[in-house]
Amino acid sequence: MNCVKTLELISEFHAGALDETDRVVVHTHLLECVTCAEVFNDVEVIVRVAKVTYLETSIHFPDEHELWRRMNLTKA
Amino acid sequence: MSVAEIENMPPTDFELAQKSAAGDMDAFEELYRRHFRRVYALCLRMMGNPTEAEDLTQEVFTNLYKKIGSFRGDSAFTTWLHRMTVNQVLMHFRKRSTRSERTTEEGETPVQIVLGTENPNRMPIIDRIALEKAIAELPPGYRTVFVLHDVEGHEHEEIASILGIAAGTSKSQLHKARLKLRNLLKEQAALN
Ligand SMILES: [Zn+2]
Repeated sequence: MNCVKTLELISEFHAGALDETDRVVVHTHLLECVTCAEVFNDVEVIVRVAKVTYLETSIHFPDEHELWRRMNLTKA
Repeated sequence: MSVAEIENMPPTDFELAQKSAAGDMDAFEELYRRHFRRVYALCLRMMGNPTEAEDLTQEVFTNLYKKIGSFRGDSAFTTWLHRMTVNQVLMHFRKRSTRSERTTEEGETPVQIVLGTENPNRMPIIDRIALEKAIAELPPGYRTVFVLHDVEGHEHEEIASILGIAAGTSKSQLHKARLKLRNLLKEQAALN
């Protein structure tokens, strides 16, 4: 399997959504090809960090009372 | 549960929505208070900019007020409002893209893989802040799917139904978004 095909399947491989044949082929290619292995590792990191971006605890919320006051509500 | 207990239970979102539709402003304010943080968080994740997120949050609730009568309670209120928020953000992107040529709707620019060997440095250690910055630079189509799937944790089937696309499209958009993010993160690191 070539790099192009592997790179196409990396997200599906990461999600564990490939059928057994494709899974083995991608896995084998990743063991042999440094370039594709790097991309796979980076995707893994991105997915992991994405889980902690914009957590409610890290968001600075605007003043909800102020926002409510500024709202101009009219029925359609 | 006793009658007294039932009477003291806080009203459901559906009850508040019905009262709001009948013109009860206190009921609508209560709905706003319950859902404000969730709506703002989603707007911020999609916009990547607090000021725009604030404006959009206001737009969402203004629109919600107009359409509150159409909530029939067949789905959870949060799901319904979430969908409305996503649609509002997408409409905003569309308006913006007609104003500026720079932003493309789906980000048709093909994603090119930055191969490790071309770049002597490995991908930088990325943190939350770097990733948030990169997400904000994704084309709207990629960004929406990435935020819904990788940040908010929705399944492709749900995303497909929210956006009115095929689950396969959601999967391929997500994959392209991740590769694009990888490139953006490398570019960011090269500039620093
Ligand atoms: Zn390869």
